[in-house]
Amino acid sequence: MTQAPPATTAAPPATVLEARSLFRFRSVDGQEVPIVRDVTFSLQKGEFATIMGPSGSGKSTLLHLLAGLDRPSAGEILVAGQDLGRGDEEHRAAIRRRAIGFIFQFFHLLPDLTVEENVTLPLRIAGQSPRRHAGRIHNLLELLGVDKLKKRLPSALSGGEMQRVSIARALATQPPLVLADEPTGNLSSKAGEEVIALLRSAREQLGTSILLVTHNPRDAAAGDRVLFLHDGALRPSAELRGGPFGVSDVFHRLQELGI
Amino acid sequence: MSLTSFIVSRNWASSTLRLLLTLTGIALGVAIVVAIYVMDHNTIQSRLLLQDPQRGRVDLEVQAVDKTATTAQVLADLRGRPGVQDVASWREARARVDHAGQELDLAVFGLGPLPAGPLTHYSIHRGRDLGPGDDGLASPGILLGGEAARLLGVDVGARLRLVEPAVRRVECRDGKLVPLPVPETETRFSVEVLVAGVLEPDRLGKRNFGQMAVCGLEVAQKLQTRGDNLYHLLRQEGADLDRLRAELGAKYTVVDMRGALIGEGADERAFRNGLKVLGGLGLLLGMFVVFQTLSHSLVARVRQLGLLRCLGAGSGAITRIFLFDAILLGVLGSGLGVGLGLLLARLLQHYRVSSLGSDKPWTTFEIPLFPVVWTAVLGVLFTLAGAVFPLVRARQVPAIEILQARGLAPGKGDRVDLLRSINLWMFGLLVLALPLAYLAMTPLVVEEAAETRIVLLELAGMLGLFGSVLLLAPGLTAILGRVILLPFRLVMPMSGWLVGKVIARSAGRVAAAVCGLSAVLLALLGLKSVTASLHAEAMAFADVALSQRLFLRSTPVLPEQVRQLAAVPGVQQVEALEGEERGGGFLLRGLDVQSAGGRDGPLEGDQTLVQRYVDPRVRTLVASHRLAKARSWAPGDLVSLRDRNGVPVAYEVLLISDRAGFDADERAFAITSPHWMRRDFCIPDACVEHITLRLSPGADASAIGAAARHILPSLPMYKTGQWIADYMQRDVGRDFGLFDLLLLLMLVLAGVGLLNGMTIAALGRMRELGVLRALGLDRNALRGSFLLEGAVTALLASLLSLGLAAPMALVLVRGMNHVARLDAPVTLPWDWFAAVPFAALATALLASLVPALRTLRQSPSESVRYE
Repeated sequence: MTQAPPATTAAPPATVLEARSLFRFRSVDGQEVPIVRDVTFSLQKGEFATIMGPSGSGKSTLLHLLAGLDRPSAGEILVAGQDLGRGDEEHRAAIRRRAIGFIFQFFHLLPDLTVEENVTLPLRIAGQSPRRHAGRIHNLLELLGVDKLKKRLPSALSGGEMQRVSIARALATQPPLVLADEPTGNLSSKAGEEVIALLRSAREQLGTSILLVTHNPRDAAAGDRVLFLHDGALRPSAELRGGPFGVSDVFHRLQELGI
Repeated sequence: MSLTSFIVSRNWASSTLRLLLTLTGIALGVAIVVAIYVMDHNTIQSRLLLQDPQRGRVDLEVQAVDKTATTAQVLADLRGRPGVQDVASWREARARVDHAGQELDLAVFGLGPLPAGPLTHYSIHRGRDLGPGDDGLASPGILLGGEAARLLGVDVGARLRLVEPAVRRVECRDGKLVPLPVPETETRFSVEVLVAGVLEPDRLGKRNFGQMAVCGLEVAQKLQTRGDNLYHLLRQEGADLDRLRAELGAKYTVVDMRGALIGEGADERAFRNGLKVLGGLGLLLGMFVVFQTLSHSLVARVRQLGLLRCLGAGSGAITRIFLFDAILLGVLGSGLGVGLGLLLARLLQHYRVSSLGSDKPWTTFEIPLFPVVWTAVLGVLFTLAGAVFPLVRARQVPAIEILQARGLAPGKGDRVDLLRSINLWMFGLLVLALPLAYLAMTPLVVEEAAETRIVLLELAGMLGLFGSVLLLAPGLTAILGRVILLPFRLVMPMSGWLVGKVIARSAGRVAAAVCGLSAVLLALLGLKSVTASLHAEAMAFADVALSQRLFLRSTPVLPEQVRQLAAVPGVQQVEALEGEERGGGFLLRGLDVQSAGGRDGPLEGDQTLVQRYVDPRVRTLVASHRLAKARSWAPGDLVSLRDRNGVPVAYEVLLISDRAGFDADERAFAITSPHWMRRDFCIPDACVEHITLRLSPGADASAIGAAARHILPSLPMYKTGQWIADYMQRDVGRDFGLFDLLLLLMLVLAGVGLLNGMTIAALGRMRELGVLRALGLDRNALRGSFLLEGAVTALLASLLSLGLAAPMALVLVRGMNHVARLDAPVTLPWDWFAAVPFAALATALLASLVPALRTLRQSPSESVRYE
């Protein structure tokens, strides 16, 4: 059995996520086609970065690699100082448990659990009692504006509310890193704006590093940094730093890149 | 609350239907087996208790095959066997007692070791029980019967001298009983004994009208030097008697006449074995339902699994969740099943339904631990196996692929086909492992292992064929299903189209439902074929042995009365059966050559056989079909019997025929010349108790009966052949009525399985169905699609079961004939063949209603709102 990584007792390293020369190939008609090519970047503690790219650019594949849901064909990923590529699925699951929160485009809330139970599910998975964290979870629900919905089932929520619950779930274990996969893709523009604002607010109040992938320039503009992904490769020269930016900045850069 | 119990409790709370159906499946399967085993165990136990009120409780009476083994060795061997609570040796003798001028002939029972312990052969009125010190010849003690003590005028503490009787034995010589005294040259054995106690006048204490004594084995051996010791076995409570018998078979012979008591008769063997096989089928169906439910519900819950893995749950946590769920379901279902089974057994006891047929009450209510616990364990294990397969498959699929899959219950198109190869797994478990596990606890009531192997091989072949067709070839089901759908698509185009899609996408599930339903239909047709064949056998016997006959039994009938009976108008012939002998383990009667060779007699028209029958130099017998089948006799075979003196005598089987004689209990009998009955068994001259009157065609049986009563005023039995034939037919139908009840339960089980599979599949398709409804699909078409799927399943099941029924009937009837040593002709019940499609259709349509209603209850807007 794989040994779970030791709990971090010291302060987390300043670099929360580091990707080095990542490659991911898939077999298409018998040929190995690169989906992610030579991706290298890092994310610092408390940083909110976005990866912008059109459909089919490899955004989701890259995010799954970074979350340990998929294995890179080559390259190295360090999450909170721990090598995600070392060890088996159990090892990666343990890192996910401790260090990563994940927000899905389609929410993926369990339909039989209430809002509160969905949010505390990662705590249970990590072997912690939700009761011991009741105060913090209450604050989290309040922060995300779903504290009054906590006894409801997901079927009774709107899309925006479901995504807020999904964000609360991603933050429940206070992970140093949250990965968001097109979190506004299934929402109205107003609900989408609210979700982005909540993510920024969570970053500010909790100090969580956030990496968001999107094809929506407005969402991408909300990041401190915007990275551009095209045909599976990052364009470091086009990276925007010092955000948040205006939507036009992102559009302009996209035009420069010919995407 | 841990993650495991949290998720499981939530799943249970949110899927009550799944929970209910799974528990029903396990519980019904286990309950059927438990009820059958409790009923069978207690039927036999009750019979054993009734078998001999003149001794204690003995479960088995055995004799060692190895004559060189000492009593101590035999006792040690028997005691060391699992399931044996107590063993004692037993020897019967006689002794003469002279005391103060009183002489008494005592029946003596030697027991070892002393005291008799749990066998409770006797109870003591006064004094003490015998102990180890009373054994042996140094200072032996005895327990005296109350009447013996009174007649001798002795009490506890008295000393008596037991003397070997002057007549050592009585021999049959030239048809006369001749006493053989102890030769003058030999000294008769005698021993002084102490009266340790006086017995109550019950059990052994009332033998020989209380003129008896119990002593140690050694004294009895000295008093009766001929013959071997017997051994009495008391089994542990719950130990299976048939299993114990089978295990003892290699080294011991069961020597008591227990045939009629524990269902050793051919019909009873067939009935008990049929019950046990049916129990196995019940368990198989129950487990099939569980397997289906768990597999499909896990598939429906696979998104949960994917999400948990994405959130960081390790494979250990996932495994724990699913195994905990399955174990809890298995334990609860099995527990419920055991309770339900005991309740069912109580009901059967109340309605006097036993494993030897109906209206045969049983009085004890013991729980046979081994089969009951083993059945419950099988319930848990197979529930676990039902959960393991999709879990193992799901663990092989990347979590993200599960989340990316399009349907709620991902399928082939989503690259997450969790049920791939499930049919092979199910085939292995249900068609191979479960029957083997069941047979491990099911010793069939048989006489020869080789015959059993043939039957089991044939059954395994049928199961294999059945499993192969359905479980391994869902594609065939898909093709046939689409063909059956064609006419329906003309009248219900939308429903037909939907069902076509369902069958194409979920051929495995439909095939499995067809499999479950057709298993019951096959069992129904198989068992009805067995019943029809037994009816046919009874009718064939009635035609030959009962038709135009009147059977009388009276106290010894005088020759003059026989002549008077022959003179009654309408009586064609009087068959006077002289004497009875059962020493060979079957009924042997004497029948004079006029009857045997006369009109409708077994030897009619064959002078060679007649001459051989009366030949004073050759012993011959005519065996009934059942007897010949049971003993594998053919004409010309030599059969060894022991005469009155215990000396082997060889009888030649002259002919096999049922045309003479009739024994209501077993139909296994033989006739021989009265000459040999007198010569070998010392039957007195003209010792007639049973008479068969052959009637002229059209004769008035009741008038002849009245005349017979006039001639034989004390006539305890008077039955027409027609009455006996009708009784036999009723008996077959009545006994097998229990099978109908069990089959009904199994039909419910199959319905639950179908309902389960359809409901879970419908829940998985809720979004798709919601979209269709949103696009304008009306409720009738949606409801119709479920009913149509049920109808197609029923028709497929009917087709399959009707196709396999004839070979299955052949296998079953042949198997029954092999195991029970019968000769029933294979007879197909055509009326049941016609009824099967209707039964299947009714079951399937009822089962389809639940998923149809469940789907219609769901709001289309809810279904399509979000993934």
